[in-house]
Amino acid sequence: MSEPDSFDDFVQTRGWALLRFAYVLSGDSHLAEDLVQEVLAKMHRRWGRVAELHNAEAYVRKAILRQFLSWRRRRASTETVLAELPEQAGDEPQTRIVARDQMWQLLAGLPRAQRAVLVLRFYCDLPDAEIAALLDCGESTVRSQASRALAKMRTVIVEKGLVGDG
Amino acid sequence: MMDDLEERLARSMHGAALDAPPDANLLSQVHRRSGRYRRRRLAVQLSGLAAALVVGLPTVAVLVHRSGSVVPAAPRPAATPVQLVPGFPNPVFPYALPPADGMRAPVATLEPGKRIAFFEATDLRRQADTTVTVTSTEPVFTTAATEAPVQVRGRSGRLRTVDAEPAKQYVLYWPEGPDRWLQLATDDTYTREKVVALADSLTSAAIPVLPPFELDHSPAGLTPDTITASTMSFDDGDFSVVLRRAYPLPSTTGQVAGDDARLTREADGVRLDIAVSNWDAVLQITVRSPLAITDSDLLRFAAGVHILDRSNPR
Repeated sequence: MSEPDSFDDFVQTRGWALLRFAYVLSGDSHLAEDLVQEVLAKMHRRWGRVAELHNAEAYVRKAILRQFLSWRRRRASTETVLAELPEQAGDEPQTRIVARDQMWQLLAGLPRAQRAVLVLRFYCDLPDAEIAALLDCGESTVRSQASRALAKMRTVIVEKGLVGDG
Repeated sequence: MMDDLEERLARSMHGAALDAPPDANLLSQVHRRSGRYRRRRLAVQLSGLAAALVVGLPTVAVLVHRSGSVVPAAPRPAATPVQLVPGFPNPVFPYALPPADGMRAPVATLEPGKRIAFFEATDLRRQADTTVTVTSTEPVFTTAATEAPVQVRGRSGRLRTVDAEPAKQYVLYWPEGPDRWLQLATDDTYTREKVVALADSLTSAAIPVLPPFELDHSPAGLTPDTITASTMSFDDGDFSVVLRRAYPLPSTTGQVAGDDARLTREADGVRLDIAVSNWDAVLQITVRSPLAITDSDLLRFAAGVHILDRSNPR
């Protein structure tokens, strides 16, 4: 994909993709808007240099990720762990929605680093090597974080008898 | 190969992503925030002509109980009494780069142990933000960097290169004289030779460090150690005036010109918090032991603190 020439072009063409990424990462609309606005506002002035990079969007996503991890670190005491989950439902379409909501809430209860790894792996479809580079850690750390997160989710699913989506 | 949970997770994330907030106003919001950051960056650069906003701290301010009586706290025996003298002499930054197209006039600040001048670039294609720092000791760096020896201003210096994105950072440092080290920090908009040439072009100057507050009185004999957009402090912070973002006062002992205030004395000093309503901030004045100040002098000092519009609460 060619990079938009100007900052305004970039925000207009890639803004919603960045918001979606930030939303999946943070699980909160307001926080997602704040993350994206904060990162873009800080880059605005130096956009000429950012745009010269091989992949400006990857650089922006990395900044959003760092900002998220940094903010969540400061807010760590407010993290909820595996919060109350929606009740199971019977009919098919609603079951799918409930299942999605359950996944979403299980994700919201994970520690920030584990959540980030899962988002990068399953939403962004990145290989572990790229995730490790983004998070400044080793691939083994990525694998262990993902493994712990998935194990925790499986445990809760079994304990609470949560639904599948078909 | 994804298992069932992983597939459900991926589907859930992609489904949830569609609920992300819309981007309809993103560009304007980013521009607004970017503009705010720029104003903050430049706030201290506003000229000394910036109007002093008297923020409810009039010349005569009296801390009064809600019942109307004067705050009762009595001063402890003074170990080193603070004497107030009229006015405040601004410190100066002693060097300047030659004026250049695409560069703004410098903004000088004072931080513990260092004097700093920031030269902001307005033409980012040809110029780069440049910071010159004066310290009394050799600077210590913690960031990983490569270093190379250079000759600068007839002295042996070192040029550090920090490999960062989107631009490599250069820090050139050298001993300018006895007990004086200079650093010039910029980025790879300039070549290494240009960085050294910039340092060579520094001339003697007296750039005033512009404080965030106008002080009718200042503590006699105390050396200013910090002057930033939020803080003026003296003698390693033993006497400090800080504008902080608003926080609720746990209780009030009275008011200063209509603003709630709280005066507290502890074994290690005295603190006066004034909730400055029209700034959505709290002005915090602290005098730490061994310095001592009477309530009346503290109030007289507070009465003479005028928050300038180049200030920025922290």
